[in-house]
Amino acid sequence: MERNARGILQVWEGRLDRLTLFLRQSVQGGALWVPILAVFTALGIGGIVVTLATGQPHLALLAYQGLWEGAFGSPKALSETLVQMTPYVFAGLGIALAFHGGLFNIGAEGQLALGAIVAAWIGYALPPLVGGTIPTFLHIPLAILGGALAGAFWAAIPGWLKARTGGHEVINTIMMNYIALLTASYLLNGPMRDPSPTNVVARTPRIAETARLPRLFGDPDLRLHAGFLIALGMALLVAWLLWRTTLGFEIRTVGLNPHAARYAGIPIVRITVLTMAMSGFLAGMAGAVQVTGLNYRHELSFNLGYGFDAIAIALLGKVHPFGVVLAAFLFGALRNGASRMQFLTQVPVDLISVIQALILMFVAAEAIIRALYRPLFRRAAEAEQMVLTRGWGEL
Amino acid sequence: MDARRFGFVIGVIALIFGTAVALGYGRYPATVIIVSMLATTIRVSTPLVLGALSGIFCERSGVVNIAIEGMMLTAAFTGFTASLYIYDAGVPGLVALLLGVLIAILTGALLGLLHAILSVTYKTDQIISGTVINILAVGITGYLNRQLFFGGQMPHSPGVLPRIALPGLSELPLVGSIFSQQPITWLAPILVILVHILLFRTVWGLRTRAVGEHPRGADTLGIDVIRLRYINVILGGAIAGLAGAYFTLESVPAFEPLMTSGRGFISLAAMIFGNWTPFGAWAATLLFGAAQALQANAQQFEFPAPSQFVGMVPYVMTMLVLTGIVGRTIPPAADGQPYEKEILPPRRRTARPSPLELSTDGEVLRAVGIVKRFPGVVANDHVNFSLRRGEIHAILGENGAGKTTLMNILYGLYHPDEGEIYIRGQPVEIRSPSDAIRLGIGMVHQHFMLVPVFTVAENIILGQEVHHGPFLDLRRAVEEVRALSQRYGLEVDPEALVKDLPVGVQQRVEILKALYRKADILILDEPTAVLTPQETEELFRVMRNLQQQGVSIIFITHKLKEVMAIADRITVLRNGRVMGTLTPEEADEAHLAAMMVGREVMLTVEKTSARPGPEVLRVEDLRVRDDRGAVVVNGVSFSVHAGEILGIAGVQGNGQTELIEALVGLRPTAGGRVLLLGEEITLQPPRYRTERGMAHIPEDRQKHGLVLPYSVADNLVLNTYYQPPFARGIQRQPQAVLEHARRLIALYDIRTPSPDTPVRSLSGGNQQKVIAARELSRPIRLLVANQPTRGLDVGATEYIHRKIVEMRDQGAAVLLVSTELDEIFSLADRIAVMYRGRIVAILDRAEATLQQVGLLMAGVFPAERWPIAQPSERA
Repeated sequence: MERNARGILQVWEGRLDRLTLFLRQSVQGGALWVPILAVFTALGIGGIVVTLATGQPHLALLAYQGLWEGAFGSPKALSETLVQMTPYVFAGLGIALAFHGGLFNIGAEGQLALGAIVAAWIGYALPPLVGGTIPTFLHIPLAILGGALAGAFWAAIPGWLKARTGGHEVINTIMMNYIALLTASYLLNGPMRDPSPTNVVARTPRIAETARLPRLFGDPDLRLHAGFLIALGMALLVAWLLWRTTLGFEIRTVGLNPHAARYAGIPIVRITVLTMAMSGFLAGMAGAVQVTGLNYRHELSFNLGYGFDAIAIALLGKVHPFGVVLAAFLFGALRNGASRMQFLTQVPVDLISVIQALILMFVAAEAIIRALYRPLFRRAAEAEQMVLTRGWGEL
Repeated sequence: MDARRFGFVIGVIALIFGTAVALGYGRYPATVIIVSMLATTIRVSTPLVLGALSGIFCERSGVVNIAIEGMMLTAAFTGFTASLYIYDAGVPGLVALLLGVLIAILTGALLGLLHAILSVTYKTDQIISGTVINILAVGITGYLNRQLFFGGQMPHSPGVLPRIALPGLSELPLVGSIFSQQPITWLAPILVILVHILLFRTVWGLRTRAVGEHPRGADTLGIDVIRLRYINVILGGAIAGLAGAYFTLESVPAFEPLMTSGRGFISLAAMIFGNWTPFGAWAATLLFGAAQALQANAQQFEFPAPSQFVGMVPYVMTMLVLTGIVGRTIPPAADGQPYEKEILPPRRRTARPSPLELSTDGEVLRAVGIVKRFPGVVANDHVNFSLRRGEIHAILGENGAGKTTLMNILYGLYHPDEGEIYIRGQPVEIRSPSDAIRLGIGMVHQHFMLVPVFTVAENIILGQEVHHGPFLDLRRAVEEVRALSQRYGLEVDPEALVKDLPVGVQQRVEILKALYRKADILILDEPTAVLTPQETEELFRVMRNLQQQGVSIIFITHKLKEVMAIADRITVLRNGRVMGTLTPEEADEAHLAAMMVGREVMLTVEKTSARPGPEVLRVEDLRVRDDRGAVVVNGVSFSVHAGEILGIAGVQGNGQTELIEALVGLRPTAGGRVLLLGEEITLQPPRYRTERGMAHIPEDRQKHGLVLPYSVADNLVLNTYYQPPFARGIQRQPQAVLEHARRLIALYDIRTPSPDTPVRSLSGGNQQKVIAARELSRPIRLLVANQPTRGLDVGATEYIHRKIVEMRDQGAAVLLVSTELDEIFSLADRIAVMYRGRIVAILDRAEATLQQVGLLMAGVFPAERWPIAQPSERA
C-alpha cells in the first residue's frame, strides 16, 4: 500500500519534472511567446484598421475596452465567453487531430452544419416517431452522437477520396462545405422548416426538453451548459488518443512520414479515412452541442464561420489539444466581447474576423513575429518549421 | 493536356448541351437554347479561366496558391468601392469603372505579394499561407463593407462595363449576341493565348518552368529562384484581381459578402484537370461553365428539383473531376514546400587581399584557410587547396569529410565563414553560382541538376538562353548544342527529353552544361557513383580529352582505385581537414585508405563459406511496374536459401528498387509469384510479411526507414509498436518501449544522448544502426537489404557488413542489393546481375570476376547464356 503510494508519487514527480522542463523550453524557445505576441500584434493592427476606416484613433481604444468588458466584465460575460468557446474547442480539436495525420480539414464548417441539423432532427422529430418521449439519459447522447456521426460521415468522404484517388482534401473539403450548406438551406427551408405560423426564417422547430443539455448554474442569466465540460473531456481524450494509444501512433506516423508508415505496415488508406472521420466527428459534435446545449434548434445563419475560425484556433494552439483549449478561450472571448464593442462604438463585429485572420497569419508565419520582436528571441534557437500540409501529388 | 482528355471535355460539353435541349424541348427552338447556353457558358467561365491562369502562374514557378478565392473576393470589393467613390467625385462612369478594374488588379497583385512574403520569404507552409489570405479576405471585406456602407449610405454606382461588339459578326442573326461581350470576357481568351506563349515560347517561361520543376537546379545556373517566384506570384495575384473585377464591375454592380462562392477553388480544380496548361485549363473551365449554364437553364425551364440541388452541380463536378476522372495527377511543379537556401552574409567591407603573384606552375585556383561551420559541426576546418591548369586533381575522403561542402563553396552555393579564394591569382568573392559561372567554374553535382521534362538542349541553355528578344530560339539552340557535343566528343541527341536518357548520358549533359558556359575549371562531384565500370572508363576518356584541351578538373570520390587510375594529384580530406596532398606515385591504396579513415582499415570482410539450407524466398517470373506504369521488372525468377547471401548487382535504375519494393509488399506486382518459406505472399501486405520473419533495410533510410521527428525509442518499435509488450490492447506502454530502446542502444552501439532524442539529430551511420537494430533484433528468416551502406563512413560500413554476415551465419537468408561491386563481391555467396529489369545471370561468387560482372551490368552478354548458379555447399 505504502509502496504503491510512493510509486504514484514518483510517477507524479517525474511528470512534474517533465512539465517544468517543457515550460522552460517553451519560454526559452519562444514557443509560448510567439502566440502571445501574435495576439497583441494582431490587436494593434486591428486598431490601426479601425483608425484608418473611421478616422477616429480613440475609437479603437474604446472598442477594445468594450471588447474586454463584454468578454470578462461580469459573471454573465465570463459565462458567455465559455459558452462561445465550447464549439471552438470541439472544432479546433478536430482540425488539430487531422493536422497530426497530415490532413488539412477545411471542411469543419460543413461538418458542423450537418452535425447541428442531425442533432436537431433527433431532438425534435425522433420522439414522435418512436411514440411519445425518449428518456433524457438516452436522448441527449443520441442527439450528440447522431450529430457527431453525421460530421464523421461527411469528413470521411474527402478522406476516402484522398486516400484512394489522391484528390486533394483541401479542395474536396471546401466543395463538401458548399454542398453541406446548400443541403442545409434546402432542409431548413423545406422538410425541416419550423411550421409555426410566426416563423419567417429558415430554422427547425425547438428540440424536446429531454434532448437539452443541463445548465451548470441555476441563474437563468448564466447559460453555461454541460457541453463545456464535454469539450474539456474531449481535449483530454484526444491527447490520450494521440500520445498514448497505438492508433494515435499510427495517425502521427502517417502524418509525419507516410512512406515510413507504409513500410511499417500501417494501412494508410484506413488510417487516413479514420483520421478524417474522427476530425469530422469532433466538428459534428460542435454543431450538435450548440443545438442541444444552447440554441435548442438549428437556424441557417447559426455557426457560420466557425469552421474557419477553428483552423486559426488549431494553429494558434500549436495543434496540441491543450493549446486548442487556450486558443478557443481567446477566440470565444473575442467573439463574445465583440457584440458589446459594436453596441458601444458602432465598430462592426466583423473586425474580430480581421483580428483573428491576423493572429492566424502571425502564428503561421512565426518568422515574422520573431523578426518583429528580435530582442526577445535573441538567444532562442531557430524554430523548426512544421510541415503541416502536402502538395497536390503527394500521398 | 492530351488529346484523350480534350475529347472527354468536348464529349461532356456536348452531353450537357444535349440535356439542355432535351429539357427545353417543345418550349423553345433548339437553336435558341444552344445560343443561350453558349452565352452563359462563356460568361460563367470567364472568372474561372482567369483564376486558373492565376494558379498556373504561381504553380508553374513552384508556389501552390489556394488564395485565389480570397484574392478575387478582395479585388471585387476594392475595385467596386473605388469605382463608386471615383464616380461620386464626378468622374465619367466608364473611366471610374476602368479605374476600378485597375484597383482590383492592384489589390490582387498586393495579395500576391503578401502570399509571396509569407510563403517564399518566411517559408510558411504554402497551403496555410493561402488559407490565411482567404480568411483575411473574408474578414476585411466583411468588416469594411459594414463599416463603410452601414445603413445603406452608398454612393451611386456607375453600372457595369459596356459590351464591345465585333463588327460584322455581332450582326449575325441568332449567334450575333455571342460576339458582343464585355471587356473582361474578351480579355480571358486573349490572356490564355498570351500565357501559353509566355510559358512555352519565352526565356521567362523556360526559367519559370525550370524553377517549378527543379528549383535547386535552376539556382545552380544562376537563376534567382526567390525573385522569379515573387514576380510570378504577384502576376498571378494580378490576374486573380482581374477575375475579382469581373464579379462587381462586369457581372453585377453590387458587392455581397462571400460573393465569389468557391470560384477560386473551382478554378484550381480546372487548372489541375488541364494539367497546368492554359488551353487545358480553359477547356476545363468551359466544362464548368456549361454545367452552370445547364443549371441556369434548368431553373428557367422549371426543372422539377429544388434550386439548392441544382446549385450543387459545380461543386460536385469539381470533386468528380479532381478524383474520379483525373485520379492521381502528378503535378509538373509546385511541391508546396518553400525553397531552402543559405542566407547570404553581408558583402565584406574589409580591405580585399592583394592579388597573388602568378605562380610558375600555372595555378588557376587556390583556396586558403577555408572554414565553414554548420550547427554543431565544422565541415571545413582551414582547408587549403590548389588547382593547376590542365590538371586532374582528386579529392578523396569519406562521406561527411567535407568534400562536397568545399566544392559548394567554390561554386557559390555556400559562403565560407573564413578564408580566401583566388582565381588565376585574383582574389574573388563567389556569392552565387552566377559568380562562379562568370569565373569559368562549372560543376557536375552528385545529384544531377537537370530538369527531367526538358530536352537536352533546353537544359543546356537554361540561364544563358539562345534568344530573339524575349523569345527562345530553340532551333539555333539545338544546333549550338550539337556543335558543342561534337567538338568535345560527347555524343548526345539535343532534342531528346532528359528523363528518357540513361544516367550515363545525363551526366554527359551535365558536363556539356558546364562547357556551354565556357568553364575551364570543372568540378565533378562523385561522378562515378552511378556508372558501370565500363561507363567509368568512358568518363575517364572524356576527362583526359578535356584535360588536353586545357580544362582543369577537380574530381571528387571515395573510391581508391579510380583515384590511382586518373588523378595527377590527390588531396585527402578527413573530418573537414586536409590530411595531405600527394601524387599517385607517392601513394598506394592502403596508405590512402589509412589517411582517409585515420586508422588501418580492413578492405575485405572476413567470412567463412556459406552453408546453404532450405529455400526461404522464391521469386517466380515476377513483373513489376514503376510509378509511370512502365514494366521495369520483367520476368525475374530466383531463390534465396537459408544461410546464404544472394547479391543483386546492377547499375542504379535497372529495376532493383521496384523489385525490392514488390518483395516487401510496398508495390503491387504485375505478374508472377513470391513465396516465403513455401507460402505464397504475393498479395499480402507488408505487416503480414514482417510477422512471418521478413526484415527489410530500405534503400532510402530517411524516407522509408525512419520517422525523423520521432525519438530513437519510437523508431526502434516502428513496425512492432502494436505487439506486446509495447502495447496492451490499444494502450501503448512507454516504459516497455524505453527499456527495449535502452537494450538495443547498448547492444548495437548506437551513439545517441538518450532514447528520447529525435532520430533526426543522429549521424547517418547511427540512423542506419537504429534501422539495423530494429530489423535484426527480431527473430528473422529473411533479410532484404537494399544499399545498406550507402552514404556511411568506413567504420559504420564495416559494422553493417559484419552484422549481415552474422545474420547469414545464424541461418537467415539474405538478399543484398548494391550498386557497389566491391560490396557485392565481399559479401555475396552468389551474384545475380540485373540489367533492364531482368536477371541476366546468376554466378557463383567463387567463379565470378569483376570484369565479367561489369560487362553483364553494362548489358554486354557473351554468345552463350550465362549459367544460373545454384546454391552449393563447399567444403
